[in-house]
Amino acid sequence: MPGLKAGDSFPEGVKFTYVAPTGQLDLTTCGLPIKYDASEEFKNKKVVIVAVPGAFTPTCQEQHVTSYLANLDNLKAKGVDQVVFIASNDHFVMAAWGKANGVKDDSILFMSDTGLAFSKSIGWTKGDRTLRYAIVVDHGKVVYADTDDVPKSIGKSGAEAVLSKL
Amino acid sequence: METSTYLLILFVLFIVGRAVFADRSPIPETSGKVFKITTAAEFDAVVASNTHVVVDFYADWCPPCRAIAPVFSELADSHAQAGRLAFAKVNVDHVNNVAGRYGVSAMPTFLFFEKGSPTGVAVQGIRPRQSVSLTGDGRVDRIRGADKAALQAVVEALL
Repeated sequence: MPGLKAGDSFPEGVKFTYVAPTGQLDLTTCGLPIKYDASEEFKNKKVVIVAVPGAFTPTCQEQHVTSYLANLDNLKAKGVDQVVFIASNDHFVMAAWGKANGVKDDSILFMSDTGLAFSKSIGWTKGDRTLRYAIVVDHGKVVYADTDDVPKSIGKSGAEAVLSKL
Repeated sequence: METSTYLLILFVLFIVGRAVFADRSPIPETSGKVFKITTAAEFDAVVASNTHVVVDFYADWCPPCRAIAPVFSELADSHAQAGRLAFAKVNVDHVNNVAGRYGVSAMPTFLFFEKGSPTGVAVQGIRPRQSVSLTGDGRVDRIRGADKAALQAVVEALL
Protein backbone atom coordinates (compact mmCIF):
# COMPACT_ATOMS: atom_id res chain seq x y z
CA MET A 1 0.00 0.00 0.00
CA PRO A 2 1.73 3.21 -1.12
CA GLY A 3 -0.01 5.81 1.01
CA LEU A 4 1.64 9.10 1.73
CA LYS A 5 4.70 9.81 3.83
CA ALA A 6 6.41 12.76 5.41
CA GLY A 7 8.12 14.87 2.77
CA ASP A 8 5.60 14.20 -0.02
CA SER A 9 3.64 17.02 -1.54
CA PHE A 10 -0.06 16.84 -0.94
CA PRO A 11 -1.66 15.71 -4.21
CA GLU A 12 -3.45 18.15 -6.49
CA GLY A 13 -7.13 18.00 -7.30
CA VAL A 14 -8.31 16.52 -4.01
CA LYS A 15 -11.89 17.53 -3.26
CA PHE A 16 -14.23 16.64 -0.43
CA THR A 17 -17.88 17.49 0.11
CA TYR A 18 -19.35 18.72 3.35
CA VAL A 19 -22.31 20.51 4.83
CA ALA A 20 -21.22 23.79 6.39
CA PRO A 21 -22.05 23.94 10.10
CA THR A 22 -24.83 26.39 10.89
CA GLY A 23 -24.19 26.60 14.62
CA GLN A 24 -26.70 28.71 16.44
CA LEU A 25 -28.75 29.19 13.29
CA ASP A 26 -29.69 25.50 13.32
CA LEU A 27 -33.38 26.17 13.76
CA THR A 28 -33.69 28.72 10.99
CA THR A 29 -31.27 27.48 8.37
CA CYS A 30 -30.38 24.33 6.51
CA GLY A 31 -26.74 23.62 5.80
CA LEU A 32 -25.82 23.46 2.16
CA PRO A 33 -23.48 20.77 0.79
CA ILE A 34 -20.44 22.45 -0.65
CA LYS A 35 -17.27 21.24 -2.32
CA TYR A 36 -14.07 21.73 -0.42
CA ASP A 37 -11.04 22.04 -2.66
CA ALA A 38 -8.63 20.41 -0.26
CA SER A 39 -5.54 20.80 -2.42
CA GLU A 40 -6.14 24.54 -2.72
CA GLU A 41 -7.09 25.09 0.90
CA PHE A 42 -4.12 23.19 2.24
CA LYS A 43 -1.63 25.33 0.34
CA ASN A 44 -1.78 28.06 2.95
CA LYS A 45 -2.77 26.23 6.10
CA LYS A 46 -1.56 23.61 8.54
CA VAL A 47 -4.20 20.89 8.55
CA VAL A 48 -4.73 17.50 10.15
CA ILE A 49 -6.81 15.08 8.05
CA VAL A 50 -8.17 12.18 10.02
CA ALA A 51 -9.81 9.34 8.13
CA VAL A 52 -12.11 6.98 9.94
CA PRO A 53 -13.67 3.77 8.62
CA GLY A 54 -17.12 5.03 9.52
CA ALA A 55 -19.03 7.77 11.27
CA PHE A 56 -20.72 6.60 14.46
CA THR A 57 -18.75 3.32 14.51
CA PRO A 58 -17.59 2.38 18.01
CA THR A 59 -13.85 3.09 17.99
CA CYS A 60 -14.26 6.19 15.85
CA GLN A 61 -16.94 7.52 18.12
CA GLU A 62 -15.60 6.57 21.49
CA GLN A 63 -11.94 7.29 21.01
CA HIS A 64 -11.09 9.01 17.79
CA VAL A 65 -13.31 12.08 17.71
CA THR A 66 -13.12 12.51 21.46
CA SER A 67 -9.32 12.54 21.36
CA TYR A 68 -9.39 15.44 18.92
CA LEU A 69 -12.12 17.32 20.75
CA ALA A 70 -10.07 17.09 23.92
CA ASN A 71 -6.87 18.23 22.24
CA LEU A 72 -8.09 21.07 20.03
CA ASP A 73 -6.31 23.75 22.07
CA ASN A 74 -3.08 21.75 22.09
CA LEU A 75 -3.28 21.34 18.34
CA LYS A 76 -3.93 25.06 17.85
CA ALA A 77 -0.93 25.82 20.05
CA LYS A 78 1.19 23.84 17.62
CA GLY A 79 -0.08 25.89 14.71
CA VAL A 80 -2.83 23.63 13.36
CA ASP A 81 -5.40 25.75 11.53
CA GLN A 82 -7.96 23.07 10.82
CA VAL A 83 -8.87 19.50 11.69
CA VAL A 84 -10.80 17.64 9.00
CA PHE A 85 -12.43 14.27 9.59
CA ILE A 86 -13.21 12.26 6.47
CA ALA A 87 -14.94 8.95 5.88
CA SER A 88 -16.66 7.08 3.08
CA ASN A 89 -20.05 8.21 4.47
CA ASP A 90 -21.87 10.93 2.55
CA HIS A 91 -21.77 14.55 3.65
CA PHE A 92 -25.18 14.48 5.35
CA VAL A 93 -24.11 11.59 7.58
CA MET A 94 -20.84 13.37 8.34
CA ALA A 95 -22.68 16.58 9.22
CA ALA A 96 -25.01 14.65 11.54
CA TRP A 97 -21.99 13.00 13.16
CA GLY A 98 -20.46 16.39 13.79
CA LYS A 99 -23.67 17.63 15.40
CA ALA A 100 -23.96 14.44 17.45
CA ASN A 101 -20.54 15.22 18.85
CA GLY A 102 -21.61 18.71 19.75
CA VAL A 103 -19.42 20.42 17.17
CA LYS A 104 -21.40 23.49 16.17
CA ASP A 105 -18.66 25.50 14.55
CA ASP A 106 -15.80 24.89 12.18
CA SER A 107 -13.28 23.79 14.81
CA ILE A 108 -13.49 20.30 13.35
CA LEU A 109 -14.98 19.90 9.89
CA PHE A 110 -16.65 16.63 8.99
CA MET A 111 -16.39 15.84 5.32
CA SER A 112 -17.14 13.09 2.91
CA ASP A 113 -14.34 11.56 0.85
CA THR A 114 -16.89 11.33 -1.95
CA GLY A 115 -16.65 7.95 -3.65
CA LEU A 116 -13.48 7.29 -1.67
CA ALA A 117 -11.71 9.28 -4.37
CA PHE A 118 -8.86 10.59 -2.24
CA SER A 119 -8.36 7.50 -0.09
CA LYS A 120 -8.31 5.29 -3.18
CA SER A 121 -5.80 7.57 -4.86
CA ILE A 122 -3.35 6.96 -2.05
CA GLY A 123 -4.29 3.33 -1.64
CA TRP A 124 -5.48 3.58 1.96
CA THR A 125 -8.84 1.86 1.71
CA LYS A 126 -10.25 -1.46 2.84
CA GLY A 127 -13.26 -2.56 0.85
CA ASP A 128 -15.82 0.24 0.87
CA ARG A 129 -14.25 2.12 3.75
CA THR A 130 -11.15 4.17 4.33
CA LEU A 131 -8.41 2.85 6.59
CA ARG A 132 -7.94 4.64 9.88
CA TYR A 133 -5.23 7.21 9.22
CA ALA A 134 -4.03 10.70 9.93
CA ILE A 135 -2.14 13.06 7.62
CA VAL A 136 -0.67 16.39 8.63
CA VAL A 137 -0.26 18.83 5.75
CA ASP A 138 1.70 22.00 6.33
CA HIS A 139 1.28 24.51 3.50
CA GLY A 140 1.08 21.80 0.85
CA LYS A 141 3.74 19.49 2.26
CA VAL A 142 2.97 16.26 4.08
CA VAL A 143 4.58 16.41 7.50
CA TYR A 144 3.17 13.18 8.95
CA ALA A 145 1.11 10.37 7.49
CA ASP A 146 0.40 7.02 9.08
CA THR A 147 -2.26 4.35 9.35
CA ASP A 148 -3.50 2.39 12.29
CA ASP A 149 -3.31 -1.24 11.24
CA VAL A 150 -4.24 -2.64 14.64
CA PRO A 151 -8.03 -2.81 14.89
CA LYS A 152 -9.59 -0.48 17.45
CA SER A 153 -6.32 1.34 18.01
CA ILE A 154 -5.77 5.03 17.42
CA GLY A 155 -2.11 4.85 18.34
CA LYS A 156 -0.95 6.36 15.04
CA SER A 157 -3.91 8.54 14.09
CA GLY A 158 -5.25 9.82 17.38
CA ALA A 159 -4.67 13.37 18.54
CA GLU A 160 -1.89 12.44 20.96
CA ALA A 161 0.06 10.65 18.24
CA VAL A 162 -0.27 13.59 15.88
CA LEU A 163 0.68 16.10 18.58
CA SER A 164 3.86 14.19 19.31
CA LYS A 165 4.90 14.65 15.68
CA LEU A 166 4.20 18.38 15.43
CA MET B 1 -51.43 -4.20 25.96
CA GLU B 2 -50.98 -1.58 28.61
CA THR B 3 -51.86 2.07 28.02
CA SER B 4 -48.22 3.05 28.24
CA THR B 5 -47.36 0.68 25.39
CA TYR B 6 -50.10 2.19 23.21
CA LEU B 7 -48.82 5.65 24.03
CA LEU B 8 -45.29 4.60 23.15
CA ILE B 9 -46.41 3.19 19.81
CA LEU B 10 -48.36 6.35 19.02
CA PHE B 11 -45.36 8.47 19.93
CA VAL B 12 -43.05 6.48 17.66
CA LEU B 13 -45.57 6.67 14.80
CA PHE B 14 -45.78 10.42 15.30
CA ILE B 15 -42.05 10.90 15.05
CA VAL B 16 -41.66 8.55 12.10
CA GLY B 17 -44.75 9.93 10.39
CA ARG B 18 -43.44 13.46 10.58
CA ALA B 19 -40.20 12.44 8.92
CA VAL B 20 -41.81 10.25 6.30
CA PHE B 21 -44.52 12.75 5.39
CA ALA B 22 -42.26 15.82 5.63
CA ASP B 23 -43.03 18.13 2.79
CA ARG B 24 -40.53 17.75 -0.02
CA SER B 25 -42.81 19.04 -2.73
CA PRO B 26 -41.59 22.12 -4.59
CA ILE B 27 -42.12 25.23 -2.51
CA PRO B 28 -45.02 27.08 -4.18
CA GLU B 29 -44.39 30.56 -5.55
CA THR B 30 -47.47 32.69 -5.23
CA SER B 31 -46.13 35.93 -6.61
CA GLY B 32 -46.01 36.55 -10.34
CA LYS B 33 -43.33 39.14 -9.68
CA VAL B 34 -40.66 36.74 -8.42
CA PHE B 35 -38.12 35.55 -11.01
CA LYS B 36 -37.74 31.79 -10.64
CA ILE B 37 -34.21 31.32 -11.86
CA THR B 38 -33.47 28.11 -13.73
CA THR B 39 -30.04 28.80 -15.25
CA ALA B 40 -26.95 30.83 -14.47
CA ALA B 41 -27.48 32.82 -17.68
CA GLU B 42 -30.98 33.76 -16.53
CA PHE B 43 -29.56 34.87 -13.19
CA ASP B 44 -26.96 37.07 -14.88
CA ALA B 45 -29.67 38.61 -17.05
CA VAL B 46 -31.88 39.48 -14.08
CA VAL B 47 -29.13 41.12 -12.05
CA ALA B 48 -27.94 43.01 -15.12
CA SER B 49 -31.34 44.42 -16.01
CA ASN B 50 -32.49 45.52 -12.57
CA THR B 51 -30.69 48.03 -10.37
CA HIS B 52 -31.50 46.21 -7.15
CA VAL B 53 -32.25 42.50 -6.91
CA VAL B 54 -33.13 40.65 -3.70
CA VAL B 55 -32.11 37.00 -4.18
CA ASP B 56 -33.44 34.08 -2.13
CA PHE B 57 -31.18 30.99 -2.27
CA TYR B 58 -33.35 28.06 -1.16
CA ALA B 59 -34.06 24.35 -1.45
CA ASP B 60 -37.40 22.52 -1.49
CA TRP B 61 -36.38 20.20 1.32
CA CYS B 62 -35.46 23.00 3.70
CA PRO B 63 -38.30 23.81 6.16
CA PRO B 64 -37.13 27.34 7.02
CA CYS B 65 -37.13 28.14 3.27
CA ARG B 66 -40.71 26.93 3.04
CA ALA B 67 -41.63 29.05 6.03
CA ILE B 68 -40.25 32.30 4.65
CA ALA B 69 -41.45 31.79 1.06
CA PRO B 70 -44.81 33.55 1.62
CA VAL B 71 -43.02 36.51 3.21
CA PHE B 72 -40.74 36.81 0.20
CA SER B 73 -43.66 36.53 -2.23
CA GLU B 74 -45.59 39.19 -0.37
CA LEU B 75 -42.61 41.57 -0.40
CA ALA B 76 -42.29 41.04 -4.16
CA ASP B 77 -45.98 41.68 -4.73
CA SER B 78 -45.86 44.88 -2.71
CA HIS B 79 -42.55 46.36 -3.75
CA ALA B 80 -41.24 45.02 -7.08
CA GLN B 81 -40.62 47.78 -9.66
CA ALA B 82 -39.56 46.73 -13.14
CA GLY B 83 -35.97 47.69 -13.78
CA ARG B 84 -35.46 49.14 -10.33
CA LEU B 85 -36.19 46.50 -7.70
CA ALA B 86 -36.60 42.84 -8.54
CA PHE B 87 -36.97 39.68 -6.51
CA ALA B 88 -35.45 36.36 -7.60
CA LYS B 89 -35.37 32.85 -6.17
CA VAL B 90 -32.54 30.44 -6.87
CA ASN B 91 -33.19 26.75 -6.15
CA VAL B 92 -29.72 25.58 -5.14
CA ASP B 93 -30.41 21.96 -6.15
CA HIS B 94 -31.35 22.96 -9.69
CA VAL B 95 -29.00 25.88 -10.26
CA ASN B 96 -26.08 24.85 -8.10
CA ASN B 97 -23.27 26.78 -9.75
CA VAL B 98 -24.78 30.16 -8.89
CA ALA B 99 -24.95 29.50 -5.14
CA GLY B 100 -21.32 28.42 -5.11
CA ARG B 101 -20.27 31.63 -6.85
CA TYR B 102 -21.41 33.74 -3.91
CA GLY B 103 -20.26 31.51 -1.09
CA VAL B 104 -23.75 30.48 -0.04
CA SER B 105 -23.38 27.87 2.69
CA ALA B 106 -26.75 27.83 4.40
CA MET B 107 -30.34 28.24 3.32
CA PRO B 108 -32.21 30.37 3.04
CA THR B 109 -29.61 33.03 2.32
CA PHE B 110 -30.70 36.43 1.05
CA LEU B 111 -28.23 38.46 -0.98
CA PHE B 112 -28.79 41.99 -2.20
CA PHE B 113 -27.49 42.83 -5.66
CA GLU B 114 -26.89 46.33 -6.87
CA LYS B 115 -25.84 46.85 -10.48
CA GLY B 116 -24.93 43.19 -10.83
CA SER B 117 -22.88 42.50 -7.69
CA PRO B 118 -23.75 41.66 -4.09
CA THR B 119 -23.65 44.95 -2.20
CA GLY B 120 -24.23 45.82 1.41
CA VAL B 121 -27.43 47.70 2.21
CA ALA B 122 -27.44 50.49 4.77
CA VAL B 123 -30.35 49.81 7.11
CA GLN B 124 -31.12 52.31 9.85
CA GLY B 125 -31.22 50.85 13.30
CA ILE B 126 -30.61 47.22 12.43
CA ARG B 127 -28.88 45.34 15.18
CA PRO B 128 -26.29 42.76 14.21
CA ARG B 129 -27.26 39.22 15.10
CA GLN B 130 -26.45 35.66 14.09
CA SER B 131 -28.60 35.80 10.99
CA VAL B 132 -27.56 39.26 9.84
CA SER B 133 -23.96 39.75 8.79
CA LEU B 134 -22.69 43.27 8.37
CA THR B 135 -19.95 44.68 6.19
CA GLY B 136 -17.06 46.57 7.71
CA ASP B 137 -18.99 49.83 7.53
CA GLY B 138 -22.18 48.53 9.09
CA ARG B 139 -24.23 47.69 5.99
CA VAL B 140 -26.17 44.44 5.77
CA ASP B 141 -24.07 42.06 3.71
CA ARG B 142 -26.45 39.09 3.73
CA ILE B 143 -29.17 37.44 5.76
CA ARG B 144 -28.67 33.79 6.68
CA GLY B 145 -31.79 32.03 7.82
CA ALA B 146 -35.50 32.64 7.85
CA ASP B 147 -35.30 36.02 9.59
CA LYS B 148 -38.53 37.71 8.54
CA ALA B 149 -37.95 40.97 10.39
CA ALA B 150 -34.47 41.46 8.98
CA LEU B 151 -35.63 40.71 5.44
CA GLN B 152 -38.48 43.21 5.69
CA ALA B 153 -36.16 45.86 7.12
CA VAL B 154 -33.65 45.48 4.32
CA VAL B 155 -36.29 45.54 1.57
CA GLU B 156 -37.79 48.67 3.09
CA ALA B 157 -34.36 50.29 3.09
CA LEU B 158 -34.10 49.57 -0.64
CA LEU B 159 -37.31 51.41 -1.49
